[in-house]
Amino acid sequence: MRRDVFQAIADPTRRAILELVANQSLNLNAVAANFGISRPAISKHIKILTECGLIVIKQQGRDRYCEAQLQRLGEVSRFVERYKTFWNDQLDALDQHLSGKKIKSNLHQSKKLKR
Amino acid sequence: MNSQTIVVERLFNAPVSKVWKAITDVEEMRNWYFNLELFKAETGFKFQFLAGTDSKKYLHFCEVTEVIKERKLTYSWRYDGNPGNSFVTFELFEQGGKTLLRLTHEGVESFVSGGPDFAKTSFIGGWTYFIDTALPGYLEPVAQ
Repeated sequence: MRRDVFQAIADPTRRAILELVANQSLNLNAVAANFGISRPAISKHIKILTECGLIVIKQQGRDRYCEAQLQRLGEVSRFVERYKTFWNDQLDALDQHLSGKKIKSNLHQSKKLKR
Repeated sequence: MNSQTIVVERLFNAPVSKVWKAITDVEEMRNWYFNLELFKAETGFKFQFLAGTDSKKYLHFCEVTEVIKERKLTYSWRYDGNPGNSFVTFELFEQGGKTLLRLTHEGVESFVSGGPDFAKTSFIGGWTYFIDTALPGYLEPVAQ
């Protein structure tokens, strides 16, 4: 099974776990207490998150704490950022359109554009 | 991860009615947006279009979910074969004869569940090409 940041945040429970531990490290019981699903199910999600490199487990005394390692979420931010660029660009085109300039139609479908 | 919501605002030197028409009239949309077959600013109206890179096109599925004439337009935006879903909202605000458009795109991060392949080669990846190469060519000043 794939283990990367995209897989990590594909699941809503894992996203919630990340948000939970983003600000403070929590032990496994404390994490599980926030969810209405079984402790083994939570453990499985945490295992996936560790394999994806978004959480590390640190032993403190008898407890095991989940600590967020969110640097890798930057991959997602960059993905989202591209949409922002896209929309900025679209609104530029809308601005041109509103000023009465003819923008070549089928812009996005054209295969004849040369690099 | 609400922080991933994309918000882009732009002030247009045009009245609200004109901007509304540009974002809802299919003829006008074809000029600056996508080459849609049909578009209706009606809740429940579904439309689809192909867009992407030269090598790979993605079929987009959209459904209008909210319409407040000349104020707000929302439609869902997802991809064939990708479990994610997102919502695009256009809001218009009259500002002294000009129009402030606020575009909000929520849920984009849900597409990354389609995996790094989607994230890296997705239709949006193709925009770098349009933005860096193709579009400037089209946006060169045209004699008025």
